Amino acid sequence: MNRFTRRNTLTLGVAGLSSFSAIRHVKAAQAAAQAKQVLVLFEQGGVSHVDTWDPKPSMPQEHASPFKTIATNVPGIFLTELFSKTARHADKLSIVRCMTQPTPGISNSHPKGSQYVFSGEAPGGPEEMPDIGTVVSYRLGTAARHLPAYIMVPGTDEQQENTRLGFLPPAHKVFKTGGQPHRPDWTVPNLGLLGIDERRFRDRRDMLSRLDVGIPGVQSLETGSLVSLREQAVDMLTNPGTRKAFDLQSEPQALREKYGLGHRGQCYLLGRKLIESGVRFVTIDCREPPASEYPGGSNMNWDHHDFIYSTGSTEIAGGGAGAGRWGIGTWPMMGSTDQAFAALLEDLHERGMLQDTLVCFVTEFGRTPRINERKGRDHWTHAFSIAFAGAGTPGGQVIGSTDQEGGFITSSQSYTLDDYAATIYQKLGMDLTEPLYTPANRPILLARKGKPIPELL
Amino acid sequence: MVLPTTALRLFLLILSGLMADGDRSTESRDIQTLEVFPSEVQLSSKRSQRQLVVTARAADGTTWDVTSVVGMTLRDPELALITGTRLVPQANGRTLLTVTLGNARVEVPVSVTGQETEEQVSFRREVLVALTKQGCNAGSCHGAPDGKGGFALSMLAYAPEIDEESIIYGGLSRRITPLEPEDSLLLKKPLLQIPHVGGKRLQKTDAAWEILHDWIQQGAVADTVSAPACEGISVYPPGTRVLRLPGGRQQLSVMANFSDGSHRDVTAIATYATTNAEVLKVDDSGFVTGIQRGMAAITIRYLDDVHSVFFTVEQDREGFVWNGAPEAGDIDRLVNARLQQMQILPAERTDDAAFLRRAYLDLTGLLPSVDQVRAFHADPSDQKRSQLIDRLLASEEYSRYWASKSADLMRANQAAMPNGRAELFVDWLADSIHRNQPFDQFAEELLTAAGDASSTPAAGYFLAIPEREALAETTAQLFMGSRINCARCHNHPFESWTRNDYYSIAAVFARIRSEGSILSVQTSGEVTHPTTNAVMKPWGWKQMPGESADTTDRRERFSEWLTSPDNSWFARVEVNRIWAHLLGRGIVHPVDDFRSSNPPVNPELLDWLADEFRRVGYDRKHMVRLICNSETWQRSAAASEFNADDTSLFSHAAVRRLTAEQLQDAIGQVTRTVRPIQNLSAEIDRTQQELATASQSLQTAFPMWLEGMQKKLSDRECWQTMWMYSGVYAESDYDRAISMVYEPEAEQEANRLFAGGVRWIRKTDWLDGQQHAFPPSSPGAHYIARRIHASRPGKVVLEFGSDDGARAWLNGVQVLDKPQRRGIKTDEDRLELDLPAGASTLMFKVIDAGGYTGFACRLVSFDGVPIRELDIPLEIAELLQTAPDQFTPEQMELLQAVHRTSDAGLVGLTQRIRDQKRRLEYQTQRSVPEQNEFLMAFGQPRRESPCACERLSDSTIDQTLQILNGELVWNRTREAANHYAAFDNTAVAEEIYLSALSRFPTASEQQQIRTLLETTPNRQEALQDVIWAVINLQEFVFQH
Repeated sequence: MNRFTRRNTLTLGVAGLSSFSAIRHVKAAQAAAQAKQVLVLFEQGGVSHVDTWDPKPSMPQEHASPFKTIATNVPGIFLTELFSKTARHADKLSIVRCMTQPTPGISNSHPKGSQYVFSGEAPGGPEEMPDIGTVVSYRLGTAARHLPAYIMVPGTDEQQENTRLGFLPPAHKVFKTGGQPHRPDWTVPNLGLLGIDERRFRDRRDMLSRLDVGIPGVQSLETGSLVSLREQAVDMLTNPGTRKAFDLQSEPQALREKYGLGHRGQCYLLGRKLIESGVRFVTIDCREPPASEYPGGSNMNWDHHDFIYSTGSTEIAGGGAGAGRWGIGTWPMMGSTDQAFAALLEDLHERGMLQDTLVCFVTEFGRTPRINERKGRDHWTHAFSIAFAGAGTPGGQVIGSTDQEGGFITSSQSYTLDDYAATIYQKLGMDLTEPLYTPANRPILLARKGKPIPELL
Repeated sequence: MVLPTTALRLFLLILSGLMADGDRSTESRDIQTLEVFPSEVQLSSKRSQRQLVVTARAADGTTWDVTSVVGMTLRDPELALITGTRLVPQANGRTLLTVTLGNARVEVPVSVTGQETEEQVSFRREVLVALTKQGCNAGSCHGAPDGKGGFALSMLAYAPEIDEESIIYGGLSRRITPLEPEDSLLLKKPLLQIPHVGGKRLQKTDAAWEILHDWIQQGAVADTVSAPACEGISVYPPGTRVLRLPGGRQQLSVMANFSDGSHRDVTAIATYATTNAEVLKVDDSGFVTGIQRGMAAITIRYLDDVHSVFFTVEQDREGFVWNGAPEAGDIDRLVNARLQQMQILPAERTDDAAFLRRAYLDLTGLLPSVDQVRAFHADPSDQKRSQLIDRLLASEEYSRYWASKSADLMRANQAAMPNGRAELFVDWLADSIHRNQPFDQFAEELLTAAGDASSTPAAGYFLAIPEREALAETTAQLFMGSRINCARCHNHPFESWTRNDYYSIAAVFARIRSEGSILSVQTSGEVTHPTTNAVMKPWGWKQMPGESADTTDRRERFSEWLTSPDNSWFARVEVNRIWAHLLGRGIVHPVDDFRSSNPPVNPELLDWLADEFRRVGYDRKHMVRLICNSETWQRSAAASEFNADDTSLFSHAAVRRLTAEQLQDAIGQVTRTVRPIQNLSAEIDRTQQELATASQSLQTAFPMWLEGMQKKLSDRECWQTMWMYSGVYAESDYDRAISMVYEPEAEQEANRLFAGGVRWIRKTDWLDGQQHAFPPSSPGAHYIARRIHASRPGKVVLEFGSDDGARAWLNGVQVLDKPQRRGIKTDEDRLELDLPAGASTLMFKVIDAGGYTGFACRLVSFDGVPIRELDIPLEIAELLQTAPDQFTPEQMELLQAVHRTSDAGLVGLTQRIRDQKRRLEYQTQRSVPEQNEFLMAFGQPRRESPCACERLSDSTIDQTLQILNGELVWNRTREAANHYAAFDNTAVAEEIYLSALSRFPTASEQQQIRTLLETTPNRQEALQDVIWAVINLQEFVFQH
């Protein structure tokens, strides 16, 4: 029962930097780590695997994907043409085609499925599990004191409800940038000086330090922690590195275009910039926001229950819950995704950042191998695909396989999102046998139902 | 406790006769006698053993443990072995054990029997206990829900049958190898002879090794069904102990008592833990050593039984002289006694400024106004502190602020208590505090509430927590100070709460049912134990004497038990909460974690407070007044050499960050961006007068209004009333939900749809043409119905869509039948209906398959003419059909009420009064505080948990960003500059400091602020900067 308590973790803690013991822990752990940072590309809604990562050329005609199967730069690995740009970087990718999501009750729910991706454990257990990013922030801290250790770009309102702090201290909560980073007027709230210039801010602080003599006679950890946090906050507000990390305008125009000038491309680019600035864990969750150029697109996620192959909006008479999206082959969907993901892989590779960064392309589940009466594909949890790159992950690898319709796993191995989480922790060198403790001292193991995916190590 | 009294009692066997020198090398005090526990040793079986505890007593009566330093010899050494300080039997016979220390000496008779018979190692009583001791079945190891490495045990052996299966038969039987015991995985893994992820967990010298080894060698069999069960443990020495440093230590002895009346010494295999390793340590054999001054408990576990022994470790502090601090009453006497024992000096009484700020913040949540600060400082009376406390206790602000503390823990949020119920619930809490309702009556009223929460707000407590397990957890946490949630799935790891206890508390709530805003009590409904399937007796039945018929509301008996004077929890938990609110820390801390392994830091104080609370009939204000008038509460936060390290014994005031709501209000008060609260009652009076005048003139205009309304309606050819909603009819599956004929369907055939038994809910906000959601029923059926009036027969067209399928009836005749599953599409069904003249009834049944469910409906046209929305309240439209002289007085009153609510001016005034009463500008005073970025950053609870830990008081970077650079602070400081512009450069500092810190600025502070204002070209900006700086002062952000 002699555990560290939330109290002593916090009085020493600042955002991203937890207790001293945790920092010692970092050193030991990081020695074995393959990854220093993690970049998660969360494409929410359930991306249809048979239209993307897991092509099925011999599927019966009435249920087949209309998109051609194409070769990649790795002999023997095939994708659909929706990934034609990404196909040139297959040598950097490990594609896992044997993902499955066996937890009942989660499959029909996007919120629960999203929470499952974020926390690496199916929601509904006895303790509310923190996000993987929150755990990583708590255990490893950040290398960039002026930035939060766990950032989500931009994080929609819907996902606001799916990220969790769980039982960990609030300093490790996800920091969501919000907004639309591709717009020139975009700023990150609370990370720039509000209303005053730096000179006046400095004068204010000078006055504050003259007037703030503390509380007479009082020596307390609480006041001490406020003062040191204040110094850190000032650093975040005035450090040029903070602004630079978020400043998309400073990137060369050609590179910005390479990622794609729209919402998704610029979010992916921002992901690279934040990793470059030392942020430990970055999640990109960036469905296209409603805009006049995508009429009918009120919720542009991957939940293609209706008219999945529409060349525009799925807002078509006879549709149902899948309305409000655009067809999977359109620019705001796979078009921008393929472009941005390929550019990201190339960019990270050229900068040598794939060395220490684990990149994960994930979604909460797959879609039915059969096309429904509304010309859509519904949720499918028996098999779906995700992909990894970087941090020692072998490139040019396909893990697992599904039957000729993509319906069920045929390989001997199959993996869950718990295994996905265990892989991330393992890559970061975190000890899966060292539990976290709730304030009531209940031991909680990281990814307790998962095992690292051996082919990725 | 079933031990024979002879064994319990401490016997003095032999006096040494002479005043001995004692063993000066280990003890400086003179030993008069040695006392040995037990007074007589009986070793009656092969596997029995006995721990000895030897206590020295000095002439002055002080005692101390000398077990580890005495000499022990057996007259006949063949009969038993002395292993450490334990006796282990060898051969049958009787002999004497001699215990000596210096010249002191005592003899203990020893009898050994039963050595001729082999004794089987018990799986449940020994093997499982050994596994617990080695940590194998801990929650983080094989006791995890899915085990570890394919080997799963029940956590802390709560389910021996699971462990039996897993150890004896699991793992392809490789875990145990009776022919070669040492080849068993059960031994090789923890010995690390082969790789073990959990590391080395066992040494061959451990008692556990021998148990496991011998059990395997004997064939590794499970216990027989008739094996006696453990009924509890007895620990010697019992109760609380004082250890004095240097040298303070204590050997424990643990006896397990079994259902067959037998006892067994389990000292060597019980599990020990300290609650504070800086104060106390304990080894595997139950030997306790004091480390430094302080208090801690040793928790002893044997199977499901957990027992704690409290220790106080005393240690001299160099230079410590008690300062004879003043005592205002028993509270100070008891606090000081503890401080003196621990050699901690209490701080001085705090100054008026700190007292004033503390009193206002703790009692009302707000800062005092500048006028109140000036008046208090100028008041020469020596009674002014107690007078202020009385005044604040009587204030509306006190009630509202303290109500919010309870509201935080009772889920008074708008999601759990929708449609204004949260506000009503908190208003009810505040009213209870305001009229100082005795706390037992409050608890009873809350816990037995039933009915419609819009008229019985207390029922909201149950409506907000739909699950009976969650109700059990919440109620136990709030009123029993116990976190029982562990026991939902496994026995509590640090406490004796079992799953039986858990489900019998849940059984109290098995018969309540919530529907919409209504809570009802049924006559049947049970809770069964999830693994044994036994029907649980509700908590309170066994605990209270007398028979009880089970048809009454079970909650009544539970409340009776809860509030009975014999229940030690009730008063202690609440006084401890009050204490924690005022002192920043509970005597038991955290306040909702009462258990024997989490002892009160000052048990005498807690007992006294609880007794006092009972004595005065659970008068909450009395307790607050007593504590606030104590020297203890009025101490300074300034620490000294002799108390700086004390954080739990109340030697000096705890520095606490203002809560989220306090801070936002304080910033509002300093920046003058909220209205001064002291002007509020005058404002309410004024508004009430305005309202009276306005009502008067409206009364005169009523006949004209009525005529106008009736004309308006008669000009219409077709109109409809608002929707009525039936609530959910939950069902096991979709098909049943389609085919079942529920009440509304049945009633419509009898043509008594709106007069029958259905409790229709009026949905004033379900507008035509919009999509409306039902509460999910997964699966189930929902009915909606309305009336359509036509001035002549005609054809009406309407559009309808639903999730999932639907059926519809017009005047009892089915007009739509689409029961198949579907998503919502607002115009999916187009109905053309022939209406007769007069009123028709239209009803839909919407069937839900699970997940989202709802509908949309729009009246499109009447005889081809588009229909406009009615701009008068639909609910009274029907009433207006009546001729004016035929209205009943009730109907007249209703119409007048409608008239009043249709008058914008009057509505505005009524709303203003309610808002003023609810003090909407003040977050500490509102029934339901705002939820904004600022408040969330500072740890505002979401009111979703009964745990006080939901409110976070720790500092985070978000908070510093908010207060240095946030929008709220920026906007408010800008506005504040306008207010302070009226003061000259000297007065402004005084005004700001009085407002923010309840004190005058020092000369140097005044000087600095004046200089800044004089030298900055833009005075407005300079004022903003000053206010910003003050808001950022530690002295502002913290209360001290």
